[in-house]
Amino acid sequence: MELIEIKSLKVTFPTEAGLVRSVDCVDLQLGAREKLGLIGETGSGKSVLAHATLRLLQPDALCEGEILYQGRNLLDCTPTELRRLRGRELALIPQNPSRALNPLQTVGKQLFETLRQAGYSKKEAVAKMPELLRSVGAIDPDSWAKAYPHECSGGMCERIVIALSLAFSPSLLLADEPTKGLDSLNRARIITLLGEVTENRALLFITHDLEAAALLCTRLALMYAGELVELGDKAAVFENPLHPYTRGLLFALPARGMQPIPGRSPPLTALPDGCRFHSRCPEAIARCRSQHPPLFDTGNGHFCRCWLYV
Amino acid sequence: MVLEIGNRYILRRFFSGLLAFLLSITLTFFLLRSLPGDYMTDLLLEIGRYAPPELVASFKHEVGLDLPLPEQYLLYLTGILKGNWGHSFEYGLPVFSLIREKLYWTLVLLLPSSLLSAGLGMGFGAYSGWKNGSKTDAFLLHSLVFVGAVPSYCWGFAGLFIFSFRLGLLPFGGYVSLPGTEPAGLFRHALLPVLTLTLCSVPGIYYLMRNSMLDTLGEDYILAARARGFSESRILFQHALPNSILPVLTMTSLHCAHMLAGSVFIETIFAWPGLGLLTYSALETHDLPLLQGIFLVDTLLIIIANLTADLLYPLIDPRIRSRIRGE
Repeated sequence: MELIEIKSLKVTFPTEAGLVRSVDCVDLQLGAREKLGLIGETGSGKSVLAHATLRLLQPDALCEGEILYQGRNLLDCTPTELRRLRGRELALIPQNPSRALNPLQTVGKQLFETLRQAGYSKKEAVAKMPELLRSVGAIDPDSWAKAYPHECSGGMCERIVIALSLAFSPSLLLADEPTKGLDSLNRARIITLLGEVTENRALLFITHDLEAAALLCTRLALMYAGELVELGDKAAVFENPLHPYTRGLLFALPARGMQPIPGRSPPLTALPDGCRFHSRCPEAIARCRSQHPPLFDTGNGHFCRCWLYV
Repeated sequence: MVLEIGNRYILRRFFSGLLAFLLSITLTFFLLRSLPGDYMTDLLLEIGRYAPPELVASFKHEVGLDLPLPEQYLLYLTGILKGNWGHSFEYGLPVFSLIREKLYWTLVLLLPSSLLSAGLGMGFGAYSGWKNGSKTDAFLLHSLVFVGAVPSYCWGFAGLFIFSFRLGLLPFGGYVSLPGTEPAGLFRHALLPVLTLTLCSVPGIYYLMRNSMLDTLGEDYILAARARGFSESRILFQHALPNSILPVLTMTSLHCAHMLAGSVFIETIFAWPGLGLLTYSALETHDLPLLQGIFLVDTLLIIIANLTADLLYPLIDPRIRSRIRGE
């Protein structure tokens, strides 16, 4: 059985400008030790997907479909059941780590609180803290524990939020852009660290950093304007990208010419008819303007939402 | 902890307070002197409809009002520094001792209503923000908008009308029951003015706290705490509340100090023998030295309130502690 199975998930937010369709009919599966990279630009719905999985969206967000965790639909869970799952089973490594820490408490206090939440006694929590900090790369755990979040660097904060998520030893880590805003050295270190800590657990790696995803993940899913546009094994996606958007992203990499995709993604309140990417697509045909493409199976578990592969 | 903050910070706050104090008493000195009318003319006109100019002039000479303004100002400043705040025209007594006695009675009203309104305003505000969008939130918000929109004296009169006139439960005014000043009597007298003052300053603190709570709830660390499965009460008391109180602190302390101004109305309505009532009568009679003294005390109280907030911040917020250490 898959660890987590997302079935035609739809997330919409009512706003004054109209209904925002953040996530639209997304289907995804993740095995027990699988590492899946969820790639997309800002506003493509990847963070919303992660927050929906943990049921952390604002109360007015409307979720349809199913998110099955070990066969249990998370969208039907009561708040108490959710609280038992959050952290313990499904852990989030939030975006902007420096803002994801309470500025008024020391790192040690927040770790202690989290370890206590994970079920450790006071003594055990105190004993476990340095070990946990060392496991995310702290050489001097005591000084880390005494520091306040504003005294920590970006890389340090990232490690601390990873440590917080590991306090429970969850079976799935949802890492929301953990390499964002880090210099290349820290980025490499965080990628290595994430690889180490997810050896025995599943990882949903949300990012727009294609290279980081390539290093960490076995499968890649690409999102555009709320829907999946391509899904496949890492090698297949990198060597034989099917969707023009994926190709565009690859060409935008510094190593492959650094050619950005022209234009911008459509507003989620007024999505175009036909393919959502057609206005930016160099290969668009007449059909792309009028008909919305489904996700085609091109064989070997490689899926693509594009009329070129009918 | 205080030592950790650093004496330089405290000294700097203290000096900026002193500067504000000097500026403020200078302004009040010149503003009061630009008021139309004067004590003797008013008094004489009240008695006999005619104020002989030579009498007015001799009074002015006696109290030094005929000196050039800069000289008066210098005399005033040196007087304050020496602890001589002048003598009241009306009462003939030293201003300082007059104010000291009245300030005591004002503080009897002000301290409980400060504590009450800070507690209630912050409590309601935090709850309302936390339960944003709920029926309780809507009820609190609408009723406190209404309470805040009605002037304090209206609430004072309404209280008097209902509890003293209609129900006969509380006295109409004053501060003691005969015989003596037993605590129960004082409590009965102080109840309405304290409640009125509280009622009028709760809405301001409430809005600030509610907004601050809403801002805090949008922060990433609240989301992160939820993602770790913390209970809602833990999130509220450990994370949301301490962070949302911070920006409200200064305004609340100032709010409490500003109640002093509100107490002019309240003390007049309830005939409470405090600084407010004294201010009112001193304004009526153009009692310049007394007014100067009262405004000086007002200024001091506001500066002290501000200073308290400034000194509290580093104790609560580690970011400010670091900034001070870095200075």
